[in-house]
Amino acid sequence: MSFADAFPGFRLRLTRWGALYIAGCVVLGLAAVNTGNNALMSMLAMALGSYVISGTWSRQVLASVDVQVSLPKEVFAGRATYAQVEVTNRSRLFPAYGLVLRAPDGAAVLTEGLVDRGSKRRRSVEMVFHRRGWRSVGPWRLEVLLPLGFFLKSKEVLPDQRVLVLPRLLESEPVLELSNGGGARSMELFSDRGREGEVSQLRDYRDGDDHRQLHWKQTARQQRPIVVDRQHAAEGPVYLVLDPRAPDPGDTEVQDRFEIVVSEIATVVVRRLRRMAPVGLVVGPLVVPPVRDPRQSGRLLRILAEVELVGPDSADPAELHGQPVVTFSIGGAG
Amino acid sequence: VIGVAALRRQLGWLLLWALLPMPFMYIVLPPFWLIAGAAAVLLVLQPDRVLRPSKTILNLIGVLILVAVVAAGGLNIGPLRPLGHLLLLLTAVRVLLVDDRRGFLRSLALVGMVWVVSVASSTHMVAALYFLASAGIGWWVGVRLHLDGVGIELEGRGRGLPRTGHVLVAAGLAFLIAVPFFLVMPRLGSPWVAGRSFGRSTGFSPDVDLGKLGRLTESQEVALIVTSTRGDEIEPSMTRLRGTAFDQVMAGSFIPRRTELRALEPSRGIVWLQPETGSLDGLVELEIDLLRPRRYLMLPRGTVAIQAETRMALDLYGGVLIGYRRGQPLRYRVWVGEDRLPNVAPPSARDVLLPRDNPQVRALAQTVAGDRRSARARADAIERHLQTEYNYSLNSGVRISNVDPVAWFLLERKEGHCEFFAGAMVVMLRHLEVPARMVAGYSGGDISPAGDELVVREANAHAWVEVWLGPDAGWVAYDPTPPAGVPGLGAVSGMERVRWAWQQLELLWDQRLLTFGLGEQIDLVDGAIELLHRIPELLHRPSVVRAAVVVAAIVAFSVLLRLWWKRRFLPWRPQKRSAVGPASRAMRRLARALIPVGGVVPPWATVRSIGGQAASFWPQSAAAVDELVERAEDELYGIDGEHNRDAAEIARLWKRIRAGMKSRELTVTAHRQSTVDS
Repeated sequence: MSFADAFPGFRLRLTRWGALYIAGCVVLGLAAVNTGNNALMSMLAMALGSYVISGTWSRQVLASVDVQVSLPKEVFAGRATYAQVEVTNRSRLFPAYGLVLRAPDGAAVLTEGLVDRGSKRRRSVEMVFHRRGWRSVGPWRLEVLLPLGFFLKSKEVLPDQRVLVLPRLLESEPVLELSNGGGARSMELFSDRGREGEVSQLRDYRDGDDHRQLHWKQTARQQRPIVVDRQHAAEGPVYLVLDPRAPDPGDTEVQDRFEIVVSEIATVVVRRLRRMAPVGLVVGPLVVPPVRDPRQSGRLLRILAEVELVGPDSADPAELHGQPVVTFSIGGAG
Repeated sequence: VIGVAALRRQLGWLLLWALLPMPFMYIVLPPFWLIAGAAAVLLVLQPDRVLRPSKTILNLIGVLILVAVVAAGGLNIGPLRPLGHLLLLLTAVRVLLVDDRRGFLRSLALVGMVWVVSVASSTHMVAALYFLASAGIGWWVGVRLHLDGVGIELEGRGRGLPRTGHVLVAAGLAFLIAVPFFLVMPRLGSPWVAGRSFGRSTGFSPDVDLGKLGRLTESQEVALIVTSTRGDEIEPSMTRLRGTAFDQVMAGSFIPRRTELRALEPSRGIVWLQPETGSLDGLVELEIDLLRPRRYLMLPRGTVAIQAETRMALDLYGGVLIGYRRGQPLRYRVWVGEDRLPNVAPPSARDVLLPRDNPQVRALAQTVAGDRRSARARADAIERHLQTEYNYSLNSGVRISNVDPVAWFLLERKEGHCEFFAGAMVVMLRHLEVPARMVAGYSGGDISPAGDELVVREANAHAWVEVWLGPDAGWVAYDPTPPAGVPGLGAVSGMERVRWAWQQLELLWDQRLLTFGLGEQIDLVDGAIELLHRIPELLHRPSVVRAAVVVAAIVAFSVLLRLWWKRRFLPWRPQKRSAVGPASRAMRRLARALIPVGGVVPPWATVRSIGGQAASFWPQSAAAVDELVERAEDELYGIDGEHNRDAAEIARLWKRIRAGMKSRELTVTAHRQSTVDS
């Protein structure tokens, strides 16, 4: 394995303490050579020995520590996302002390006091993405300062990685009206009061779940949040239509309004799919047929994550006849 | 992050550790290290009490420190002592003012300097242990501070960081790396050497320089071994082995003139020092192993003949010079008869010559001699005077000004080692026009129970005086050193052998560490080169091959043992790994323990409910139970933390819980007993 493979993006920086230590060794060396005092010689020898051991140790630690970062499948804007960071020390000889994982802006993402030989530590790192769309994570650097901190050695452990951040979910579901589907109906149909319906399954809590869905007894028993999914009366498919056209796409106020609209649609998509209610999506000329399973939510949410404002001359949204449709535009839901 | 109080307490302990050798040294006066020690104790006992004096008070303290340093001698006795005093007082004040991490780090530098002074001034062998322990402590403190610096919690649940084992291994490895560094570092010396006169050890020297003051260390290196080849008992008179005499006195130095050497030609392999008689009958035959020859053979007085495989020459003072042999031992035989000196040359003008007349020494010599006129009476008087009025000490102290060391010894110091006594007697006698010279050699040693073997060490090196008492008596030996300072004879007992072993260690310390220098470095390189040359030959030796096989077998056995211990040696018996962590297993044990005492533990009982019941049953274990519950929850439901790694810590927790259970059982039993009694 080449040096570049073992230490991608390797950096070495002499610390202030390291510089002082070297200066101290020089002074000690002058004193030892000058006086011939073997006690001073011993101290100098020990200082140099410590220097060698510290350098070897930190070098080996940097070479043998791996960091794996896994992000959740769904990352929503504005919500705390917990990345699982697994720090593995593959070395059979050297325990890894004082590992620091830093984000590109220099902020410490993770500090780990000790990862013993041949062991691993798993940590959750909270991350918040403020905007939807493709966002980059990394590169993160692993820094090793210990054991005696003469040099700060670091390498890249997470290359620049792009993450698709899904739209922000709203706390409350917007009140909307159906059209083209047999007259206007209240969007109460969409809202889940949380109590009615047969229990279909118990499952782990996911981001965006209503707290009223928590099954407290099971949560206490299993020591982790468990929610109840209920079977509702069959609901027909609904198309959510997003018109991304705007007279001035560059206007920040317009953009903000557009973000709110996208968030409203994403919220509706998530809520409907959780109760297995089919929902389709129309974004401009693009039509995504209705899906029912929450596991298919990505098909809709990914489009919502990537959608951008377009000019007024762009194509009209696709028209759907005989289907219940809810149209969203920057002017508000229609 | 470590709190300020903890940092201050840590600083106190470190300062106490740095001061530990101070009471055993003379370079720093007790009041100074006592003050620093008091500050350290205060930090340890009252870490929360931070002193915040005003600037005026601090300035006043600064002035007081300077006054104290000057009052303790100032620069009169060299720069090291006042610097040490200054450092100690400054450290004592500085550590008490520490109120944050930055101040702590600054004070740590001062404490480190105190430690350097302590180590650099220590000469005893125990200092090695202190040094090694300091290395471990240094590593521990260093790692801990850096961990704290990057914001890592050091004292969370479980064992604190860093782990002692890791630190000790690192320090040990650093020590191993340090050994070659120590060996190869240049020993150059300097024109302004501060400590050159310190660290000398006893031993024979072909000249004497009394200007080298300071403490002499008794070297236990074996200088020579005398064996009676016919089993005759070695008489006490033969235990004084003579090298040569020094007749030239120059400002505290005593050296031989080294002129008029007479080559000694062997006759049938034997060199005769006395007129050849052709017969060695009736003489005591001794075999002497001179382990580190230094120019002269060591001969008992009365040596008649010598047999040695080297060229020899006789000097004017009865000393036998040999060719240069670096580090090579020399074995020779001697035949000893009556106590007579060979080559008895009458004194010359140089035997009464002094480089300069010292009126005070002359007055002292005349006072001691009184109205005695004969050389013998005068020599007797001076010998007695020195033996009774002066003290023997290996520590010659430090001269304040550039005066003649003999005069300084006679008039001011009044204590010293044998060379001072011998030198003083020579000078006093010469002031009285009595020819005298200093003799260097060995006296006493460790004699075997059978009395036929004498082990003489460098600690037995001695100096005495020969005085010319006229043509009839010739040169007569006098020993002005007080009896306590004359190396004597010791018997070899069991305890003696233990003492020898200890002395061997001290010798190793003296020769391989304390006085390790350029000569030893050259010897080391020589030895290494010789070893390289001898490798082919060694590989053909059956004993070496056998040793290599044994070592390989031991290594292989150790590796197999290690593999077996780790259960990796038997691949068909995989190591059992429990899916359940140690904390969860401990919780199960706790649940089982609850049932006999009336606890209710249904299958769906949560960890916390088990813990709650346990805490109510065994209140004394409540803290440990709480911790166990947290760990078990972390293990079962947590997403971070590692499993199966804290078994030792869980075992400790369980031990605490068990202790609480037992105390409860005892209480209940006692209660029942008291109920029955009542």
